[in-house]
Amino acid sequence: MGMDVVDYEIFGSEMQYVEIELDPGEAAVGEAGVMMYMQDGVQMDTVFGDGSQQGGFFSKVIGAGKRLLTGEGLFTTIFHNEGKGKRRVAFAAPYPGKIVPVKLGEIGGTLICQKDAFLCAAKGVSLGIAFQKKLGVGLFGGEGFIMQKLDGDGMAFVHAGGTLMEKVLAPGETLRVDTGCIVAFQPTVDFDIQYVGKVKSAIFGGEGLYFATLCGPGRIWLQSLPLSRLANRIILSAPAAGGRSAEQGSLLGAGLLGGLLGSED
Amino acid sequence: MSAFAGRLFGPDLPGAGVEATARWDNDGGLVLSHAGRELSAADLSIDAAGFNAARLRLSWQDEAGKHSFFLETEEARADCLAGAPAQHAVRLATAAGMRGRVERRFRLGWAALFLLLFLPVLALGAFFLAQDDLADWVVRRIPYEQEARLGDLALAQSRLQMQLAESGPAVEAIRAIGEPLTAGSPHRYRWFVADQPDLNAFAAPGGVVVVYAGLLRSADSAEEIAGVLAHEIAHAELRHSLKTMVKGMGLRALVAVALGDFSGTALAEAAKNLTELGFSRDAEREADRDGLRRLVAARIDPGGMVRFFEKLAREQSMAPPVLLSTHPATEERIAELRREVAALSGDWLPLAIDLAAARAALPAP
Repeated sequence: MGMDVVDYEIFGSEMQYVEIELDPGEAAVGEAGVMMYMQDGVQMDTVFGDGSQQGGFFSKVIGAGKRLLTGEGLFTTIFHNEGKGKRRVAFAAPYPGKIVPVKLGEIGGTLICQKDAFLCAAKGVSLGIAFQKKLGVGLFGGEGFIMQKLDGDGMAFVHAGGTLMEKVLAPGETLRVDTGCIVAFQPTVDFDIQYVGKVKSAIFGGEGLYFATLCGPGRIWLQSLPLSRLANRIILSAPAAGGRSAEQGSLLGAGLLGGLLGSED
Repeated sequence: MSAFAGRLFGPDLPGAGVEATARWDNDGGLVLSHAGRELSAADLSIDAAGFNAARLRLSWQDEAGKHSFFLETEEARADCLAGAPAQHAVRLATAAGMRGRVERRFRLGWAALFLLLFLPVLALGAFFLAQDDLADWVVRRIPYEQEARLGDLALAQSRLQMQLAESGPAVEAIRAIGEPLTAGSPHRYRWFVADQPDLNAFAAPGGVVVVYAGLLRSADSAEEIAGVLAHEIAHAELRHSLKTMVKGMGLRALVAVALGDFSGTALAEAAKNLTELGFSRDAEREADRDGLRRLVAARIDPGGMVRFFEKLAREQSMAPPVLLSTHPATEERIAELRREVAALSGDWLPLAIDLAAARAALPAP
């Protein structure tokens, strides 16, 4: 499998995009709908599946079906440079957070990530699904039963919500993580769940019944703000959904008093 | 002893691990090499680890700290197992068991989920396969009094559509022919003549037998009527209409569950069609055989049954009689009957029925 080596640059701080430089003949695979701009000479090609299969129609259908399971489109878009010189194409993150560049070759060729974390990759990286086979983890681990697996040795870019935490776990080192905060990890990392410990904290602690635990060795990537949590807060505070609108400008109006008396979200 | 590749993690190595190869040494330890350096490991612990416990992990502790060596591919695993010293065999097997357990539970979980989602559909399939046995089982539990009440219901419905005579010479003739055929029956038979021109007769549940005037007119002998009655009585005795109803109701109920329709219309529908039940070909054939047996037991010439069926088949070419549309009196059926009748012999008792008088008592068509 020939991987394309790509140079890249990440712009922005909280709402980032990544600009990938393609040499003539190189290509990048993007999640449908994340392309931000591309220069002249970059051709866009939509393929069934993830563009890494060389096999027949049937294997393409299977690849596409797997993509459907992870909640992505049936098609991926391949951006290839048909021009003479270097050309650039940019992919933007769909929600506030950080873009994580991962060189798959450095971590052993495989990355397991949360199912909608993938943003783009060098052509040749194959996007697969990795079923979470521990039932308890699938049910309570916060990432569901279906995770995404990136295989290859080129660059892949995944996206994390909020602030990114990248950490290396030593052999046997365990980190307890709130469910939903896991973005990606090396497949040598043991992903399991642990009961929160006390009934009182399980019910009133607000962290849920279980922690996700990640046990080293290996590299892990965590996000500080899963999109669903952000979306939940936005919906809760939306006036249309019964939330409070904190008016700006009026000091003595409902805004200030309401702000003093009302509960802080 | 062949070396096997894997990924090595340790205190003085990059956090994401490095590629390394390993081979077993002679006293149960491991010799690892990466980037030209050699490392030896003793006091190994072996388990399944990583995502889905899919990888084999060999870990050990030395002065520098804790090390882990992960076997990532199946070939590496096979090579490792092939060369493994006997002292590790148990632990290697345990590790393989751990991985297998995760896999098995996962499959079991999905199978359970699948089963739960498709249970109504599966039940429907099982029902189709075993519907005859199921219907028999249910029908055996319905008391005969209940069946008689169903018969009343069917009778009441028939009365809305046609005039039913309960007495008179025609009914008496029918009773005289039919009564000997019902020997040993748990039903209390009731006989009726309907003033319909069609060549038809039917048996409702609970021993209600209705013969159409048209049938009486076209029958040439009492034996022919006996043949038809034997067939209808067989239906009643074998409780075919109950079975068909139970099947239909069960089917509808299951379909309602499978489709999630609990409006209750299914049962109402089933009760409505009491008299319009068609029997399956198997039920017809069964009724033919049982009817024939009844005729023979009553010493009535079974040739009449065959003759009447032949008559029906002939009529079919002119105007399809109703009896035929629900009774598939195919050539095959007649041929089978004829064959069975030919095998029978005996001195049949002639039926002393005055058919002409019965016919004369019928209302004018």
